This record gives sequence, C-alpha cells and structure tokens, in this order.
Amino acid sequence: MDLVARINTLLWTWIQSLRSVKRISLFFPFLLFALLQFGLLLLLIFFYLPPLSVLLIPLIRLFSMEGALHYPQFYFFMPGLFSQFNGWILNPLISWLFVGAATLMFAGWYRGGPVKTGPALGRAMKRALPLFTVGLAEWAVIRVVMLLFRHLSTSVLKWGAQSPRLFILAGFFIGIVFIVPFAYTSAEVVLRDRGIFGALRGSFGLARRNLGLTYLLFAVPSLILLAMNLFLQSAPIIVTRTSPTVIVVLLVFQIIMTAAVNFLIVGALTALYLRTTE
Amino acid sequence: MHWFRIDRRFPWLLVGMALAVSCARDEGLGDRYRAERLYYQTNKLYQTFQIDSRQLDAERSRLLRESFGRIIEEFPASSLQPSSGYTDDVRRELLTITGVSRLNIADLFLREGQVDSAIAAYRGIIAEYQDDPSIGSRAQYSLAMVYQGSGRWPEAVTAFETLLQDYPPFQETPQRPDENILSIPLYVASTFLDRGDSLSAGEYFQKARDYLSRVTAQWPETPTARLAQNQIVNTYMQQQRWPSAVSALERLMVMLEEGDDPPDALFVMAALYSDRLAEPDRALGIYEDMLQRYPDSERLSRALLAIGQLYFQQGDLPEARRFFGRVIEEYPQDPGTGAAAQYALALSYEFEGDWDKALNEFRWIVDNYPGTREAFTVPLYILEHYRRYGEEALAQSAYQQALRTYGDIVAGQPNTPSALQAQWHIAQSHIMMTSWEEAAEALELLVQTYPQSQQILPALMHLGEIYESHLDRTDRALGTYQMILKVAPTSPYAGIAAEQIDRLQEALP
Repeated sequence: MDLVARINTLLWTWIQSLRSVKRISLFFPFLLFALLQFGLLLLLIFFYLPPLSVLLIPLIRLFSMEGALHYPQFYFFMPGLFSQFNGWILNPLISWLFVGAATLMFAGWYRGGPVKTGPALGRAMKRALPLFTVGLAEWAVIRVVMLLFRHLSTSVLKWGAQSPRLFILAGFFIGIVFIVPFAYTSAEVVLRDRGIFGALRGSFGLARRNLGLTYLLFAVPSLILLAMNLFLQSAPIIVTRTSPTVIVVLLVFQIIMTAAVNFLIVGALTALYLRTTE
Repeated sequence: MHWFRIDRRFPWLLVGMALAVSCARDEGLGDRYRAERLYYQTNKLYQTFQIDSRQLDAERSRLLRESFGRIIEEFPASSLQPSSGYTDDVRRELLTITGVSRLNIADLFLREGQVDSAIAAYRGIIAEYQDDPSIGSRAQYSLAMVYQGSGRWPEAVTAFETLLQDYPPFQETPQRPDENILSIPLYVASTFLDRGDSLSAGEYFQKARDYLSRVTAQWPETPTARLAQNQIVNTYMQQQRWPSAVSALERLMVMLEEGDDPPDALFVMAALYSDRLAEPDRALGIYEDMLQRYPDSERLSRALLAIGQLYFQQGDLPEARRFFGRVIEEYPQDPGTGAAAQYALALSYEFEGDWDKALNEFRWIVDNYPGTREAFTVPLYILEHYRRYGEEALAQSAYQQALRTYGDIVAGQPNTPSALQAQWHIAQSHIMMTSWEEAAEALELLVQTYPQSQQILPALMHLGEIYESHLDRTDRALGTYQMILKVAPTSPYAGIAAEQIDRLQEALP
C-alpha cells in the first residue's frame, strides 16, 4: 500500500469508528469498564475509612510514599496512584473482557449483524483464557519496557528525573511501539477463534504488514489522554491553588475521555482487521 | 469452562476475609487523614480571614468555631492518650491538629471580643495538652498576651512566669531553641520599664538573667544556651549597664562556634567600647583583630567602615579616608556599606572645609549607589548645606535638583516605600526653602496617597503647623489636627493635636 492509500485507510478506519457512535450499545463495554474505574476512584477517595483503610493504606504506600497518606498531599499523588491501581489491577485483570466484547460488538455492527452486550460478554467469557493470557502478555511486555526505559532515562541518561514531562512524552511514544504487535490479538481470539499462540502470531503478522497504520491508529487518539496526563503532573499546583476536589473532577473527566478514546481505537482496529482479513 | 464455576465455599471465604479485615487496624492512619481533611477545609477559610479580618463577622466566626469544634468532638484529647492504640507518631500528629484547632477557636473568641471565653479556651488547652508542650506553651503564651491586652498586667506576668516554669525553652531538643520563650524574660522586664515601673523592671531584669543563666548551665554548648546568653546581653543593654553587657558578650563569644565570619557579638562589643564606654582604642583593637582572624570574610567591610569612623571621631581624617577608601575599593559587592563609606568620605572633606571635594563625593554616591539610604539623603543634605551657609543661588539650584531627583523616584516607583520617602523629602525641600504653599501641597499629596503609612502622623503635624503659622489658614490647620485625632486617637501625636485644637478654638472669634 502506498502512502496515500495508507492515509486513506487510516482515515477510513476512524470514520467507521466515528459512524458507530450512533449505535449507543457499542459504548456499553467501555461504560462498564469506566464504571469499574469510577469504583476504583471512589475506593481511593475513601481509602481512609475502615475496613478499606486496612487494605488500601499498604497498597498506597507501595505505589507511592508515606507522604501520600496525608491530606491534602494525597491528592498530589492521586493521578499517579489512580494510574498505578488501574495499570496493576484493573487493566490486567479485567480489561481483556471488555475489549473482547467490544470487538465482537463492533464486528457485528460492521457486518450488519446483532450488537448485544450480554451475548458479546458471554462469548468473550467463553474465550477468557486466551483473551486473558494474550492481554497479560501484552501488559507484561509493556511493564518491562517501561521499567527499562525508566532505568535508562534516570540512571544512565539522567534526564528522566529532571524532566518528568519529557519522560512521560518519550514513554508514550515508545510504549505504543510495543503495544502495536498485540493490537489484533483480541480480534484474532474472538473473531477467528484462535488460541493463545495463534492469536499472537496472527496479530504480530498483521501489525507488521500495517505497522505505521496501527501505530497511528493508537497514537493519534491517545494524544488527548497524553495531554491530560501531562496536565495532571501539575497536581500539587492545582490542589494548592484550587482545591483537592478539582483533581477528582479531572480524573472523572479522564475516565470518560479514556472510554471515548478506547471506543475510537477498538472501533478503528476492528474495522481495519475486518478489511484486511475478510 | 469448569474453572469458572464458583466453588460453594467461596462466599464463606469472602465473609471470613471481610471479618478479618474489619478486625485489623490501620495504625490510626485513617483517623489521622480524616482529621487532616477536616482541619484543612476549615483552616483554609480561617486563613483568608486572618489575611483580611474585615470580612470576619460574628456569624462567620461562630461557623468557623463550630467547624473547628467538630474536629475536637471527633478526636477529643481524652482519646489521644498513650493507651489509645495509635502509634506515637499518629498520636502526636492528632494532638497537634486538635490542639491547633482549639487555639484557633480561642483566637476567634478573641477576635469577636469574647475575652473571657478566649481565656477559658486557653486554660482548657493548657490543662488537656500537657503531653504536647508545643501546643501547651503556645496556649500559655497566648493566655499571657490576652491578659496583657485586656489590661491585666499582673496576671499576664504570672502567666509568663508559668510559661517559663512549665515549658522548656526549646522545641523537642535543645538544638532547636524556642525563641519566643527565650525572649519572654526580657520582654516582661522591658514592659515594666515601658510602664515606668523601674523598680519592678530592675527586679525582673535580674530574674530574667537568673532564668537565662540556668538555661545556659543546664544545656551548655547548644543553640539554646547561645540564644539564652544573647538574651542576657540584651538585658544589660536594656538597662544600659555597658560593662556588664561587655562581660556577657565575652562569655557569649566563648560559646560561639568558630566560623569564617566575625560574629555579630564582636561588632556589638566593639560598638559598646566606642559609643558607650568611651574606649575607642579597645574598639579599634577588636576591629583590627577581626581583620587578622577573618581575612576572607565579606563582613570585614563593616569592620573597615567602623575603623574609619573611629579615626573620623578622633579627628584623624586622612587615616579615616584611607579606611573608607578600602571599603569602596575592596568590597564593591556590598553597596550598602560602600555607600555609607562614601558618605563618610564626603563628610570628612566637608569637615576639613573642602566643600568642592565633598560635593564631588556626594554626587558620586547618587550616581554609583542609587537606591541606598545615603543616596536618598544626599540632595536634601546638599540643599541644607547651602541654606546653612547662606548661599542662596546655589541653594536654589540644589533645591531644583532635589525636586527633580525625588520627583523621578515618585514617578518611577509609584506607591512604594521609596516613593513615600521621596514625597516626604520633597516636602522637606520646600520647607527648607520656605515655599509653604508647595510644602503644604506635597504633604497633602503624601497624606492622600499613603494614608496607612507610618509617616502620616508627622506629615499631618507638619501640615497643621504650616497652615497655622505660615499660611494663616486656621480652618485647614484645625481640620488637619482633627484628622490626627481620628487616625490615631491613642498616639502621642493625638495629645499634641488636641492641645493645638483647643488653642486654635479659643483664639477663634
């Protein structure tokens, strides 16, 4: 495919995804996941209440530092804590289910077939083992890459600690490189009933043939989330100048934006997958 | 998929875990967070009223007190004993939060004018926060100040004495002295002196020294001991017992750690010898010793300036100028001392009768040390010189120059302390040239532009005198004196203004 064709394909995938907005039920998997994230946010906000405090205080200490257990300093660390809890608990444990269900629903919509959340979730649950495993593999790879990147930039290149924003920016672009090979694993599992290794092989191959497209498909919509993430680095200033509640509002907004961006990405990925495989 | 079938025992496992979790403790960290949250939200509002107390009416004050009160209800002092189950750190933090909340409640009572309620609140804190000396001592100090503020000086003295008796003069460790507590003995004695009770003042100065000496003996070689010894020096200085002050300074010098810079105590000692004890040679010896022992110190500019001033006082002007020149050449990075040296240099030429050289040096200050106190005073000083010697043409020229210089400052730095001083100097320039209308105008402008400044009362007094004695405008004079009574009814100026008003009103037809 030449460059113009690739750009056309990229735009086409997003247009397909955006056209899907009129089918409200397609949002349900993302809304369900967003509800879980709201739940996580609430847990964090009320971490200090027993019996939550017994479980959450050690976790907050683990993911952050002792200073985060004070008010209002907790809200300085809250964006990072929310991201950590999301990244270490919600994402690896449950996001695979909603991505799998969403992929099925988008495929149904594009094919003119049924788009029901319940059956999609049920079907995704039936494919839980491969979905969970490939999701875990992707999660693990990203974690290792980011750890190595952090070590390299702080200890070796020594600019990571001096410029957190630059670190986040670089981490964003590098992270997507390692997400891209796994982009089509959910589709391979739920749409073509592939096993773990078959799904990985299929996804790697498809991503390799559509490398730039897939990268941009992830990166461009995610820029909104990157911007939010960078803004939330100023949490201490935001809390000091306004109030801790503003951080909560911003995180709620981030959850909603994440759902919207994931909708766009999954919709676009599914459209591209169907176009290239059918 | 069989591994998804939920085991029957799973719900009981969850219940068991929930019970285990609910029986576990979080070391009090959850409670501490809750207390911090309550405190932060209330204190944020309280601080805005501390900045602008005009917005704090009785209703808002009551709501704030209730809000702080909720913290105390949730965490009463009785629940914060060592046996409470909290870790020591958490318990101390909770004591601090609740203690500060109670202090704020007492402060709010005071702002509402409920002095008795404030006193009761402080007493309650003192009784219940014996475990937390930082809170207890603040309450005790505040109680003493409330007594003093409400005219109950004997009770204030008793409260101050209790503070010294019951609380250590440091925060947690003698390495962190509590300057407030250490300053109290001198404060009490000085207040007796200010009240005109010299007998009690003498007694309390001695009590202060006894207390401070005990501190230096009990915690030697600590910052607390050094600060206490410093206060002993201050007691002698207040009583103008200069030889004793010098002896106390010598003891302080022994306690101080050797550093790269000469300590303030040495400068004070030298100044006492030169200014109070009429022993300039000993002062000179101290300064010269400083030059030897601390050759690389930036503070030596002060020593060189002081040596120059000593020679100046002794009439050895060439030697004085040599040291002033050293300050200017060797310490260009210290414009404050440089300007003072340059000013003294100019004065030395004036004293020798060489006004041209002096004028040159004065102008050098304005050009090379702008913004310093000396540069500020130069235009007026030059004008005063010409007026003193009757050189009217030159005085007129100096007058115009002064007005230009000060006018530039007012225009270039409006509504700043420099502009206020410049406006005052403009008025002084007009007064010196007996331009009474212009002087009155300049003072009126000062009063209007800087109504909250400390200069306002002297300005109003001058203005009243100009209207009365030089412009024959009794009505304006009366209005000016009445403004003094309105602005500062309890100040010493008010008494003079009241007398002027009576005199003027008697003279009216």
